Amino acid sequence: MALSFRTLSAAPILLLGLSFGASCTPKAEVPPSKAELAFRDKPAEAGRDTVAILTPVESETQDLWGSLVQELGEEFNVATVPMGREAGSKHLARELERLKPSCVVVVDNRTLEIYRELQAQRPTADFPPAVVVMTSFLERAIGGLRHATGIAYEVPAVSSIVALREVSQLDVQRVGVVHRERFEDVVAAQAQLAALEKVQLVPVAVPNEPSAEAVEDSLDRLVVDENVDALWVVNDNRLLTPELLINSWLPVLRFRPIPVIVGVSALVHPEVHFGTLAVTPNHAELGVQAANLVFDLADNDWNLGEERQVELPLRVMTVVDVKQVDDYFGLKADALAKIDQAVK
Amino acid sequence: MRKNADKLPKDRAPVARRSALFGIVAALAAISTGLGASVTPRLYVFANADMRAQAFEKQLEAQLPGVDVTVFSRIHEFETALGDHPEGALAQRPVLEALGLRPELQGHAGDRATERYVLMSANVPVSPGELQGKTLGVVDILGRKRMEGFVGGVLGGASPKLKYVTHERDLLPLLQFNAAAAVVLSESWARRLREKSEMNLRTTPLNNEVGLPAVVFSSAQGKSALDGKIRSAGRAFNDSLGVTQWR
Repeated sequence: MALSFRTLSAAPILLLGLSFGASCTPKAEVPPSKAELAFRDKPAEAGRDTVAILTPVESETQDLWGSLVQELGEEFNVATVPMGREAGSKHLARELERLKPSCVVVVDNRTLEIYRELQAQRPTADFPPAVVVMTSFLERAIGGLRHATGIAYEVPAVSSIVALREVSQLDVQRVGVVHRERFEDVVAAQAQLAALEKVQLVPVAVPNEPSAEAVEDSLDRLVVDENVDALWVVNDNRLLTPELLINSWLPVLRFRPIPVIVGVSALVHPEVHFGTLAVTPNHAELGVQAANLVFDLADNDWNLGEERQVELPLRVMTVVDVKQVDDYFGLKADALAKIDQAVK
Repeated sequence: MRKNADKLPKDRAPVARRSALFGIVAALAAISTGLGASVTPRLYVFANADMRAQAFEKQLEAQLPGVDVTVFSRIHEFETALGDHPEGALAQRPVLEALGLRPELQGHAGDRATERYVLMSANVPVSPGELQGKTLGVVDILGRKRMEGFVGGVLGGASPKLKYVTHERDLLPLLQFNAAAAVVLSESWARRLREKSEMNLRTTPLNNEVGLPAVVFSSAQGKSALDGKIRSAGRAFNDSLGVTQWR
């Protein structure tokens, strides 16, 4: 069955969306006046511990921040340290010295890099425990950081596959994934989790500097030779370049109705057969999960346990191309009530 | 609603103040009766369904014509919102009681006002006694400070480390990610999680049951506006709240 209504001519729409939305790092900064209103802290109360939220003041971080403040505000003084584009390690050092927080919440890639830089500048200094959120591949990034835990930003394949099962009538048992060689350990960990749900993740590695041919051949292998039930796309910008989308992904998927699970909502577009379902972290719930980590630290006198572990995000958002699902895979009767955003 | 609870018909006002209060109460009653004729009664609901909160809200509202239904998924939001003094608030009985409210209308499943809870785990069933020193996943329905006592009561004494989530759906990832030795939830939610998952999920029934949803009203007017509608709301409304009748 050919997906004739979905043509390559619509690909620029997807690329436009991708250029705005494919990065894991939030970008749209809230205008100063609005930001001041949206991220305003309550006055500090004496005798309470302080939790500092080190965050860019952006629309993408607003839901997370709101949940953190709501959950933590009853017990702690919550102080927001805006990490604007000009903020660096000196600014952060000044703020930490001023606030003397018992714990910090580090939000986004850039803030994490500044925090890491500050720790490197002060190798013998004591830092409060940190909860790191909204950063890429945290399991790797957290390695060199002292006194830190956090929540990964990437939605595990198993959560995405369960989400696909919830909306489509397909029997999903084998899911293909193309990944760069350097992500082999990430994909292996995902395969273990997926196996619990009786799903076999079928990986195909491409070089770390992949050519369009390598990606296209790998996709062909998964879709044609392996006949997988669905594809899961790793959030790896190097595999989702405009060139690879146009020359590798879209040509392979154009005539093959196979569900494609992506991690960026901009990749689900009704005019382009690429993302069938986007599964992304729910930022408000990510804030609740991060707040629970802070409470756990407080219960442990602000000490991290010896076994430092990065949690996985528990709650996801789903954006679904319902027409694609309905036309080719069968939409479950109650699906519309369960998905967060229907793309038609 | 903590504040509202003081407005519920209770004999709490000291006798000496009663005559002074009478005039004020009468005036307020007159005003609220006047307003009540034109204002849509509000029902605040703290409950989870196997769908988005907005979809759940729409579904409930469709079954309660003329009622403005708002669904809350987090206890802090619900507790704060009760300060708006809605005409009615619906939540599991232990939630209302923990907030100092006295339910006036109780949901029943058959003739029971409580439901069975279970421990759910992956591959091997877990008993409460085996949870000591381990992590148990639980939906935070009372706020962290009150939850330990609640869970201890449901488990019959065991006190594992609790891992909180805000929705029963989030309990499944805790088991998938091996982030908890077990999760505790109602038998009906355990059935729903089984339908979603291919995991080998095992359950252990618990002896101590938990109160089903109940309703408090902020005033006699609130009760008169909502009580009959809730009692006669119909099967879809009741099913989504896990009850079969209200009394």
